[in-house]
Amino acid sequence: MARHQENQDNSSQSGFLFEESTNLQRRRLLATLFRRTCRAISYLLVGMVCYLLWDVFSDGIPWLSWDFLTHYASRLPEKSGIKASLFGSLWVIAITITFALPVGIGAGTYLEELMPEGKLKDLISLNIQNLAGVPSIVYGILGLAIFVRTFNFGTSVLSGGLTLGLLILPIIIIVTRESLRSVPQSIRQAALAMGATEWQVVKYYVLPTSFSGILTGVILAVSRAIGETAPLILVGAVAYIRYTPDSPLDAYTTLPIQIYNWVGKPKQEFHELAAAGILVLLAIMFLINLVAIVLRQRKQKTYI
Amino acid sequence: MKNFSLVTSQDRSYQLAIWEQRAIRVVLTACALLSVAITIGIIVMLMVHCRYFFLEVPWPQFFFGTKWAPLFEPRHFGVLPIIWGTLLVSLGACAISIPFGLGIALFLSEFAKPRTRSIFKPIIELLAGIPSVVFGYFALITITPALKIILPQTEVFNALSASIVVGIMTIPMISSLSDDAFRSIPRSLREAGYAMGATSFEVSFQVVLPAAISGVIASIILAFSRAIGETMAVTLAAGASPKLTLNFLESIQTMTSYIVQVSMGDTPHGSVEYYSLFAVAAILFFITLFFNIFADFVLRKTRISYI
Amino acid sequence: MDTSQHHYTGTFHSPLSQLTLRSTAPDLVADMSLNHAHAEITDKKNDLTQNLSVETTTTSEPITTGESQENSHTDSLLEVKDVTIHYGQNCAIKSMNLNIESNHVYAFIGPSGCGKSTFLRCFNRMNDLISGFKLEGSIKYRGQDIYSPLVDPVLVRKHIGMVFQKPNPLPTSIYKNIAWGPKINGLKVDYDELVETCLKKAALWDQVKDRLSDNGYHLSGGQQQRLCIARAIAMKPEIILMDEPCSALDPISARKIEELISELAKDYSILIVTHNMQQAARLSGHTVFMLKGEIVEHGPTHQLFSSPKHQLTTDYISGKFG
Repeated sequence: MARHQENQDNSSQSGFLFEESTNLQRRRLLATLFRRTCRAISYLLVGMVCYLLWDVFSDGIPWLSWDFLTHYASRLPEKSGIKASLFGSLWVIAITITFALPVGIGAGTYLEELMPEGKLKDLISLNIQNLAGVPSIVYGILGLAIFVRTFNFGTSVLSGGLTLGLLILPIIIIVTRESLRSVPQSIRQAALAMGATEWQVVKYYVLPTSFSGILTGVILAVSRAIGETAPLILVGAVAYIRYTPDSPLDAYTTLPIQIYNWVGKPKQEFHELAAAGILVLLAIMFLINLVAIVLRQRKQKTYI
Repeated sequence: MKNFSLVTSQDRSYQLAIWEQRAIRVVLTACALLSVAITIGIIVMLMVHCRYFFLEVPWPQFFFGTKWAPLFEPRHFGVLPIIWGTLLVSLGACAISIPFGLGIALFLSEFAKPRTRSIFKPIIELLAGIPSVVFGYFALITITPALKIILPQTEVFNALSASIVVGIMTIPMISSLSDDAFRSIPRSLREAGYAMGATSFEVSFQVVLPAAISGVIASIILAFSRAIGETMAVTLAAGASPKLTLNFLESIQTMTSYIVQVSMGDTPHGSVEYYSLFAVAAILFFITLFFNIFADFVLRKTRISYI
Repeated sequence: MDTSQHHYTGTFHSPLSQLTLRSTAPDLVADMSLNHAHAEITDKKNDLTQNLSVETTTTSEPITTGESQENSHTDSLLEVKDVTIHYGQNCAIKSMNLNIESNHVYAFIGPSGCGKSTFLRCFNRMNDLISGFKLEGSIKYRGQDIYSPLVDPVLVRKHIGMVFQKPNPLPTSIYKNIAWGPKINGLKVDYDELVETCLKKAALWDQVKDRLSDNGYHLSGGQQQRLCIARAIAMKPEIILMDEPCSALDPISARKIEELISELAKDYSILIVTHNMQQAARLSGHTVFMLKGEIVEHGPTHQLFSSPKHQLTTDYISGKFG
């Protein structure tokens, strides 16, 4: 049965299992090529990300200093800093959180736990799904028309915070619902069987159980809001401000806007300032994500 | 035995719990309805302002005009150039994000060791979390100078570097969603392919990919829709010269970057330029809404359950 | 033949080149990508071919394994020699030895987790797809080591087909389910005819002949499994491996599949893993009883069931454990 291959004399590796048609060789070549391409593409992307980050680092690191954090923006690059934008970002995010967190978690809880099944629920779910996909700049326009003009908050921290709140609201609702969904049905049944009302079940068992999951999702949503730029340009965050906001109705700027402004300037030094600003922004986001990761680790408690 | 009724109870704690539940229901319903209010708010707000806009600019000129110059005299309000600019950048971005996204998704789901996977996944999540303005910096400061070395005729603002960064930004969307779709294909299906003497390439392309096609297409549509709405990176990289061109090395303008351009300047409230913001935003909103609903439709209609 | 002696002759027959290849194999295995490891092996194949040619020229010993092995057991279809299988740290199969002759039905029985499925999946290298899989020893198909680094698993699977526990039709038409394998493997045949013969052999033709373009998923469970069998036949294999092919089906469908298997046994060598001892008794000529990754007893089915030599076999057959 086993036959020797002519071209491979002296070989033990003979037989039909070793006889390869050109068809098989071609297919194997294709498979190898395909696999290597996939791998190369993946490593290329990682390489690209690393290169871009390294580029920011090498440009920005020399400008990072205490002065950079405590100075206001200036026409002179060496005197410029991010104090106003850092405080502006904090103010805006504080307002965003106060608005979006309770509303988002509340809406998510209602939809997942208390709302009766039906057409209305499907409609609202679809609506939220689509809101999450609306471009951020459209929220900016909404904020401009509603908060700045109609409610007459002007170009203030309040307008900016509420606009970003609207932007992350659908995300918070979605992550809340997902976390609640992972709570096993048996917990709800156990509590209901003890004579609790639906809301008591939610309040005492379901929400505490899914707390860390919700918090993780919320943190990710907030970190998105911190980096958001476009909607704030529309609701009037100005780049050149030499004071920190004292009340929700003060004018403001934020870190991403400051970066945008510096990148847009022709001078090389401002580009490097932008890189330094990016480093601060990324550091803040990294810290926030670190909290999310730690929480996710702690969440490991599972119910099966 | 105590007297009791299952219909009404005088038990105080029970009464309290019921009232609490009723109150909380009202509050939470309001929260949930707020999301509907946002959608209605967006649509009404856009429509109202668009009406003012179309009082001044006839709609055929807006929708079919090929010259967009709303800020200088003589004014032209033909929206096609900025729609074209948006499409150019988005299609260019897809040309990068589709092969990269799918390649990475196939690598992660079919070939990578768990350890490699556990390294790649966070890197891709990290990429997804980088703010858009940072990508604008990459485009303008890193990519455009590099392009200029390769192609000297590249302009300072050009569609190509915008396409590249938007492509990179949307890679995580395609790769994560497609990876999920591939991983939801049961192992038994791959085994069926391998047991019939297929190579890894044949199994990936003729078994796994067709089985997961709805998830893959949905991910591509969503990435495209995201690219259309992308603002800061495009504004920084692509410039502000609306034109109907196929040349990726020239400066163009997209719908989003027009909106930014207008709002950065001192546009008087109530002027035509001010209302043109809403007209452009309306187009943007309805295009992305269409793609999002379409993606949802693809996912629902073609889903096969393998259980 | 005594086991230890068997082992010794095995080493003796192995040419040096093969030994070197074996010793490099663990590195390959360690380097394997986890999901679809066999791809990696083929990847390295070309490099290995070069190494091999160097090795073979340095050895003056005549190399005759293939021939001599085959001569020593003329009837042996599959020859399992000292096979040990690890999944990561877990040992699934311990130094297994077995000869399988052609044109018989072999049944593998044993309690859950005894390694019978793992063992079955070795014969067409399906285990390569599982992460951390490591095989020592050799499995020879007609005298050729199917785990030689030079062998492409694709070729092995062309000769040795498989039917899985859960029916797993590909998510395309019935027609394509059958024609796909031969097509990618470059078989030049009339596909319409091939599909018809295979479906007839699998006793499915009459039920599906009018809807060949239907999705394979729209068939009932039993029909799906018969489609999977038809698909395996289409590759014209010599051996068909069956991993509990009836266990996911209702009793009536299971009965029909069983009839089909005994029909197929006339043309193919069949290796079947089953939980069902009656089924093993009805179908097979030989039965292998496994426990904790080892063969306890094997022999002609009637003999094993009527007068088992081993106490453990007696206990298992009479239902004392399992």
